[in-house]
Amino acid sequence: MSLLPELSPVPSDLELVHAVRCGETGRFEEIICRYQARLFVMARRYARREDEVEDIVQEILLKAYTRLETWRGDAPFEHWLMRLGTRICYDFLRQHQRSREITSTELSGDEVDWMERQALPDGQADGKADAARTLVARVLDRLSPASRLVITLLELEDKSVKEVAALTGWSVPVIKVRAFRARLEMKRLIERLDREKYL
Amino acid sequence: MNDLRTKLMEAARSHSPSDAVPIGFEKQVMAQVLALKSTRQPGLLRAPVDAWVLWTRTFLRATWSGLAILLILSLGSLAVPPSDGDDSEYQGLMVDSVAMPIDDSGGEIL
Repeated sequence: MSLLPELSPVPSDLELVHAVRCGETGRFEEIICRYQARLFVMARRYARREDEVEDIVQEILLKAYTRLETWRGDAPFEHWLMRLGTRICYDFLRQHQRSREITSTELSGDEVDWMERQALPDGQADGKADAARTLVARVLDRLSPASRLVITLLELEDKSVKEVAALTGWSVPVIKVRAFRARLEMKRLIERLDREKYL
Repeated sequence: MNDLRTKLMEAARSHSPSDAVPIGFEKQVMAQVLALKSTRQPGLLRAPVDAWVLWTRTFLRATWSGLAILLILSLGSLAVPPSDGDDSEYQGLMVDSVAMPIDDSGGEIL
């Protein structure tokens, strides 16, 4: 007979974490199944190669397992996990900081075409959303890790400054300063691309 | 240029990354978790800490703190100039108290 309390049909995060802490390691698989899709979305915002994405998610889950005892249950488990994930994604960006140089010769025909069409009056700029997304990915790749993290959370995930502060552990003024710098950095990169494509 | 940046961000926002998970990913992570668990003490998530290691760490921390305080006090004492007051009066008082004859009155209070 088990000394652990019976788990409800759909156990809560608290119940699952308690079971894992008490030695029922197999229960951790339920936690993985519950959150892995969200973690993959998060990781794909920072890494492009699928093997890198898998490595990031795996690292998040392993770290979550080893630090499970630090979750006290006063905040939702998801918030705790996402905070951990954000830190790991930030570490990934810092470790894989690519060259900051970017030239228009790196861009595909579609990407240059998309930029040119944006100069046309509204309505004439057609879709080619794929080209725009690839272009954004290229620009984001060239931002500093902190700038990229802030821009991604604030502008792509539509999070508030307070939410970003909770996720990153940075203070609100620091995030505001970093967001300002990130937008400036991004504007300069786009300006350079725009200038070079006519050379 | 700001407009172009905004349009770029809108295009990126309109398409959120896929939430697809590779088949068997949870099994792969669980294998790692179990491997991790086997290297740790059963029932405990935190790696066990040897009592001697703990004691040595605490002792070393205390030693360094003690040395730091000693250094600060030594520097402080060097910084304070020696008192130039005349302490011959104090010395005289001490000598007098030693040389004073012992009263053999048996402790009677007069």
